[in-house]
Amino acid sequence: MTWNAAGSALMGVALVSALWALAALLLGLRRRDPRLVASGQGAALALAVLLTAAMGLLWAQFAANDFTNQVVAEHSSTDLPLYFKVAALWANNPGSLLLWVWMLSLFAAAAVLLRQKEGREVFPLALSIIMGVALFFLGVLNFVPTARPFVALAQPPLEGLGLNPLLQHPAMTIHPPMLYLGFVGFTLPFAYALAALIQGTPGVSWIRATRRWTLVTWLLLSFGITLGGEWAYMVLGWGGYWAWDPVENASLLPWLTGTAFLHSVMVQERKGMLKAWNVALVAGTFLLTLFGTYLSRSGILASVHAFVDPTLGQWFLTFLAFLVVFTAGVMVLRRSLLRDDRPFESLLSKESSFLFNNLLLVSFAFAVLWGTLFPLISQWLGGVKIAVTQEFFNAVNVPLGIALIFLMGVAPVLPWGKASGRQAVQAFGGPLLAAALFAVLAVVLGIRRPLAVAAFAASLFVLFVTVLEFWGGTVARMRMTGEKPGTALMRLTTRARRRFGGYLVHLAIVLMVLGITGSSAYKMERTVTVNPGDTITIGRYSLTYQGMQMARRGRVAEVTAPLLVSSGGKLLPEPLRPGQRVYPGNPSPMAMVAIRGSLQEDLYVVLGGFGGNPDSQRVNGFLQVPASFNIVVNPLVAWIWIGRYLLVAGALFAVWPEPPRAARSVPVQAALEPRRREVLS
Amino acid sequence: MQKQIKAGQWEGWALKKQTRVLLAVGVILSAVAFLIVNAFGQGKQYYLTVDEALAQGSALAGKPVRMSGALDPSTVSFDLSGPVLTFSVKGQNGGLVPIVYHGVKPDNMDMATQAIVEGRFDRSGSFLANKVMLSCPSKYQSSQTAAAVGNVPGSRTATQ
Repeated sequence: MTWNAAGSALMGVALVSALWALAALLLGLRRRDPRLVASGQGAALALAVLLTAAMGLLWAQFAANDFTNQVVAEHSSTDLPLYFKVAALWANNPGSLLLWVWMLSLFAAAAVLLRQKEGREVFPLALSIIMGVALFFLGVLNFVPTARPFVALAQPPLEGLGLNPLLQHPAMTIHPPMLYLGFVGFTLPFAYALAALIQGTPGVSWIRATRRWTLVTWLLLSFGITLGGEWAYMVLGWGGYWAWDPVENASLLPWLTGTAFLHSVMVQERKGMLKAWNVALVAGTFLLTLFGTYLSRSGILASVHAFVDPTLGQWFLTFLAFLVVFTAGVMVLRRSLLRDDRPFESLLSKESSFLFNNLLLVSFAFAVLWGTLFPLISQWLGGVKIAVTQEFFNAVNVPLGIALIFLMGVAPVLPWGKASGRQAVQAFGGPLLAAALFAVLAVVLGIRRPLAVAAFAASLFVLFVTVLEFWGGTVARMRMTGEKPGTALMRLTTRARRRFGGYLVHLAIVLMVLGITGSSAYKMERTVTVNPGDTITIGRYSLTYQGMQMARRGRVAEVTAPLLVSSGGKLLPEPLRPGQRVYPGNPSPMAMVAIRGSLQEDLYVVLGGFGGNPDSQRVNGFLQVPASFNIVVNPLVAWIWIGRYLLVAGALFAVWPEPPRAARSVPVQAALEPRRREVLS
Repeated sequence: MQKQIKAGQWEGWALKKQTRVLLAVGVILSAVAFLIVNAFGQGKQYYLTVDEALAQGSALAGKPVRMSGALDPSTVSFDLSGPVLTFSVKGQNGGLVPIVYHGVKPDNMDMATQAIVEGRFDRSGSFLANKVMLSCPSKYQSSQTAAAVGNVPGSRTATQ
């Protein structure tokens, strides 16, 4: 038996295993037979083992340059370093779909093995829903010809086609798996929500059971999206990190609705409100992850993604349509369970501000979806295909984003139920005033663009409110317990991890917004052609071109154009070396972006091209030929990447297990949330 | 305070509050609708194939257009001194549109087979692009790659 036959057999057995799990769980639930349910759970574990074996086999084939496998032959080559061979597995359609379902099976197995107490009554049904989703993917992997990962080539080539050089970047080894984990993980809360609804289980146990899953998933999705942006920025060489491209939008959509969901479940947990909304939101998020997976494969939107696979598209669309009808049907049949316990009492309350935050996030998602699909919508409505530009997305989403930032300052300090105007002023009047003063200062200092000033002021407002939360809580705790500042801060935050972890994430978003504002509103860009000895000035920099240098690194030919850079009149010790590489078998050169980064701004240089020929005159080893450069100064862009790490830290802080409740003494508990208590009383 | 209000009164009062929240929801949604409608005015462009664009002729002059077509590699020329990139895209009926792009040549120009350009037609029928996107479906199965990584590596974007 060949390895490819073994792989195909594994995929077949995996399909049977998922089918077994689904059938045994459903039948076991119907007959109230614990042995059948246990058998179904066992099959779910077996599925994880089988798919791990399949992934291992495919990875081994990549590592061993087994070009009898079509996927390996088309996406790898012998000269590829091992870590890129590992990444090449998901740089193609079959491999990435296998990665998807493998991750799903691991999530499912982890859920089986963890035996969470919370939500146990709905777990078998939830697991069967997860198995149903896995079954869909396994169906695709087994039966759609272009999606099969173990197709044997009759005449295997001696050398593979290689991995697209653009993907040969460290970020590409972790960006896709992160993004996929961030997609796949939303299957769990969706499955629990639907299972609880189908079984008629009232209450919030499905939310409690999936809270950590959801948060970790959201964290990975956030990380995956920003990694993609960083890769585009560092590698693609157009000076930006986000272009509202359909495939980028596809990853942002579930992030937006998932973020809304993280907030709105708190309202249901605390007040028994927004029940139907939460189910719709988690279902929508899950569907958007599938839609994103579909969109990036179907080729229906940007024909630059020349790959069109109508068969695969039909599978996804059919499954999506089925899920929409199924979820909507369950929601209608179980509508009595989705009635809220109470109405909204006041505009000035935590639940109302969460409601508004949700409306804005979902509106944001709607605008992105609408803009992304508009070529299809307009063609369908009027026969004329009309696309929207980046300006459309910015014109809608920048104001929405600023409003969202503002709410990030308001919602944390408003009490549940209702607050009086006086309480509200007490809670965030100071920070608001301070932010306004800084905004005036910014205008005086020359930051005049209205949206930039608004984004700046809203960010500062959130910063002040959040820091005050840490400060006020620590001081109150010190007064009450006599603890030292460090201890008080530690205990304050580690005993309300969800809350303070959330605040850290808010601060992270603020940093990222500052980075986005700076680099989009105050970007400077020049495209010029110069001769050796010429100096280009941009902002406070002057760059002197000396000529080209040629080098060869293994099979890769490299040209660089070292530029002497002075900043504010001071020569920097290291020249910037933008260049181009020519990879074997690939006629087009790849740009090597040169970046001089600082917390204040990035100087970003791309070599666009050069003239002359290798026989041109050389001075000190520099070929004396003209060259063209694209030079960008991107203010504050580093804060986007820094904010991302704070976001990860904050989210991890929030999901970290809290100490057992028994360990807390009563007076300490009373001191836990002094500020909130103050506002409430 | 709240305890002094009788049950019936309380319900009516709560409803009124709920109405207020609903009103706020309405205001937010209207604002969003306004933003979207307003944004359409700023960021809309025709999405045409080369054939469709040629069929409309001079009626398109000056209007924002995104146009896709086959790239004819023999027409690519890059003048470093501008820098100016010129090339032609071809429709399925064989019609050619000359493209002028003031900017550097995208990396994968030499192996691209499809181009999407954004910009405007001038009166002479040339297309002044401010954005050039290319795709090269052949060797790396760039499209599949694009699918897998959630980005557009097969297509390189150049923006002015």
